[in-house]
Amino acid sequence: MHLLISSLVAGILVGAVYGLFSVGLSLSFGVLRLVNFAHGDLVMGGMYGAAALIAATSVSIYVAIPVIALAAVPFGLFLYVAFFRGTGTRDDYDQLIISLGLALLLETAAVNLFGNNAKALNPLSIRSVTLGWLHLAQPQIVAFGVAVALTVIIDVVLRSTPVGRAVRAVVADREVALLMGVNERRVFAGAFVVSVALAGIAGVVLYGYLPVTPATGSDFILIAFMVVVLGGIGDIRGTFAAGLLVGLVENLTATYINTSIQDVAVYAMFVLAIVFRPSGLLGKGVA
Amino acid sequence: MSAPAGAAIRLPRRVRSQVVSWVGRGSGAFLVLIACEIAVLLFSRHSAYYTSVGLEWATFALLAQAFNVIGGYGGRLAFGNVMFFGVSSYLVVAGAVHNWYPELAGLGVGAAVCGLLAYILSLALWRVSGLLFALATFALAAMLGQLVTVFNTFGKSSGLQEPLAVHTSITHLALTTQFSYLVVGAVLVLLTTLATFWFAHSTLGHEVQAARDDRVAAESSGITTRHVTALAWTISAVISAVGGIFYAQYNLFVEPTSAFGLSTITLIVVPAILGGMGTVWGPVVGSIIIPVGLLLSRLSNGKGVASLNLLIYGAILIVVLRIYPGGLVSAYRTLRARLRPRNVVASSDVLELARDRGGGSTKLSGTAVPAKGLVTEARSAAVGLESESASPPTTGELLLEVVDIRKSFGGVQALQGVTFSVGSGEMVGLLGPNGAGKSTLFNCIAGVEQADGGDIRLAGKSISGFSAHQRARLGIARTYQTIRLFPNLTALENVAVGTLRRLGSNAAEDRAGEMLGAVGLQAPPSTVARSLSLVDQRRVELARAMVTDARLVMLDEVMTGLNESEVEDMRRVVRDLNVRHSTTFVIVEHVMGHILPLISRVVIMVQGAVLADGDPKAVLERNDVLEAYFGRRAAGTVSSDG
Repeated sequence: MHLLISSLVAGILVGAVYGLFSVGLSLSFGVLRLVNFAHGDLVMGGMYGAAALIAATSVSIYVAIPVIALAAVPFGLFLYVAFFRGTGTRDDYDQLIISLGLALLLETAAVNLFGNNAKALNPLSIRSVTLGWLHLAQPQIVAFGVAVALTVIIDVVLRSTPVGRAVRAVVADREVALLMGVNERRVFAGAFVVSVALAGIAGVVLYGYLPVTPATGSDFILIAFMVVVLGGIGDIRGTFAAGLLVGLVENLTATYINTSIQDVAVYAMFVLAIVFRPSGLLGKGVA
Repeated sequence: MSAPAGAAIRLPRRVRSQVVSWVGRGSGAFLVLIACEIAVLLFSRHSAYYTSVGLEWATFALLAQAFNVIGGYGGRLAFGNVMFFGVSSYLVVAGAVHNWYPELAGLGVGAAVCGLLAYILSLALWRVSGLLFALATFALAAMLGQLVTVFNTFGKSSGLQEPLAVHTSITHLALTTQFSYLVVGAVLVLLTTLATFWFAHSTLGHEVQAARDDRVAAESSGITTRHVTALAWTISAVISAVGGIFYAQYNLFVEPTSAFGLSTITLIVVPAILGGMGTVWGPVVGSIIIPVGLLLSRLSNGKGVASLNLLIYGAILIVVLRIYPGGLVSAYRTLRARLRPRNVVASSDVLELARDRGGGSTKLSGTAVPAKGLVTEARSAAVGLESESASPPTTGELLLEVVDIRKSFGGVQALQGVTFSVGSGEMVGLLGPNGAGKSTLFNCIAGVEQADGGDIRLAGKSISGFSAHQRARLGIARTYQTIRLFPNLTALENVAVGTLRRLGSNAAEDRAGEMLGAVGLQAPPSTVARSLSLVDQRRVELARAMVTDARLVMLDEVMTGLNESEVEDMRRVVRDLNVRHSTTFVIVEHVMGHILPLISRVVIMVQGAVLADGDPKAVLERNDVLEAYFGRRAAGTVSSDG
């Protein structure tokens, strides 16, 4: 029983963070129709950013969150203008492959700037929180809290503000939204920047308890894709719920069957979902 | 992936002239390839390092070409195509290590398993859109890569090692030197390129490209899009499998990340994109980047940029797609076309023209020669049939019966019990305000949509369960409100592609030429469809519908956007087709005046139901019809001159 509960809790904690960075990807997919292969590497960038900041200034990881978030804005804008502006109107694969190129560039940058060895916070500095018999790492709880908070904020913005309505219009029907006067450049650039920022922040909070290597990006990207598709593209709540689902499936499979199988189970779920419910298992996205 | 501008595709020809056209047209490039390969072999003969570079080049040239077949020609970006490489290499190595079967049998097993897997996956993922399809295949590859790490039989995460061959053996696909494998690799690249060349020029290749360009239009032309695309992926999977087995035998080691991982996917995608997808030579040309990347990496080893090859690959992908998405081959063709002065026939085109039957030839080759002969003959014959008063060849039998058809989309009831029938040889107008459901009805009759209720009968037999391409074969054809031609095929190819399989390439080409003449195509039939004027595009669509020997042709606003003289011409053409081929026409049109001289009967639809059905003059004088069009106040005052 205890095993089950701690598995569930672990799954939910990590699932929330999956949900967080997948929400960013969902935005970029929904708004720009961009399947951003570099998204995982952007999460990795957040982790490395936190690592560099902490190494240079010895601040706590919580300070790193707003710093990275702010740094993500000009960086995201630069990426958008350099790589994706103007490609968004074509409904084919060009953007996908350009993003693959970007992923390769980011990975090269990581190898050259930080080397191949893993970077991590001093494990001794990680405090743990005890709830009865349940031991949790404090950074995991913080990660969960940040993920939930940000997702709620994004959800509220999308639902209740004019900007949010414009974004949802573009996700629902881009051409009509543009004809109705939605400012394409601003919405596209804005959505992309937000997706970069969310990825960066997710990276920072993950760095609280996970190590990072240049290969970390490719680990995350597949998870992000799957969560986005399962949750329904452009559906924030669905994506977050799907993140939780993936985290749970991953943890439960690892606990009860086999650690190596955990990914297989998630991938299989993903492929089945695509075949039978492409608009999203949990949400009502645009396929 | 949009096909590059220069990719004008040749229709298949008779085997003899096919070989001749290969000799005349493609062989130059093949000779260059052979020469390059010989140079590579001579250069690497005594260097183990260059041999290993060459082996990697050969492997990825194969895999890139396989990716191109499904991604470029098939239009389905199978990002996870690497899975066939991984599956086959694992099957061979495991087979050898555990003594299940000799490697030669492993080749068969690997190819068969991959081919079957690809076919099944293609069908299963058919309804999945392009981007999701790319992701799904990527996830599948990752899944297989993970799956392998679970089982000891496959060496878990450490991989499997095959023992080194002691002597050459065919059954064990074993050679004693790495250089011998390089020779085999070079031959495989040549064979794969030949296979791709054959594929691109075959009936299957044309059908696959039509399915890629416009699935609905291809289906309505009688192409089994699901099946042909699945076959394309099967071919791609088999090529990948061969690549996998080749790799397994010279490398003697397989492990999960290189067999299924993103790094390998990158090495497949980069050459294909760099060279140009949807072309025969693109992946081969692009594969040059593999040795370049490896050599540069080695040169900068330790100093300068680490992972230099990744940097180069990333930069190439971005630069190519931002600047010239068609890749090197497409850029080369565009350059060549610009440098060649217009209206001059290329020398290889002259050779082909000369070889064909002299004078009045219907064979169309080259891009700059307008077709004479048959097209103008047919055109003048058509002019002679100017018959305003020719009586419609009705036989009194009912060809089409639409019985109580219902169709709704979510909450919108598009068709609410539509019933009417059309006699054989009749010309019936289907009119009605916007949103009446006319196009939806056409879609239901053509099989593009399935009606929710009711029945559709063709010559007395119910066709409600039949798919679009089956109905096309039974004789139903249509044109579209917004043109749905295959943009990268020529006018002639657009018309012929649906009948290639049934009639064979020569007969299909001849009929297409005749039909284009009958509809009065102004531009040369060798013009690429997206360059045609609107009226010519409509003519091509009409010809494409007619060439399937359709008994029933549905015209969906075929006159929209045409000026008065073009409308008159189109009317004349339709009337002639009706008289000469006894084709039954159901015509949707917005401007009544355009079709009133043509039709013997009119059916008025309003809000998904039939309001009136009968003689045009009588129907158009009815108050309820006038009200539907013009509103209540006008109904009493407007006369019925459409």
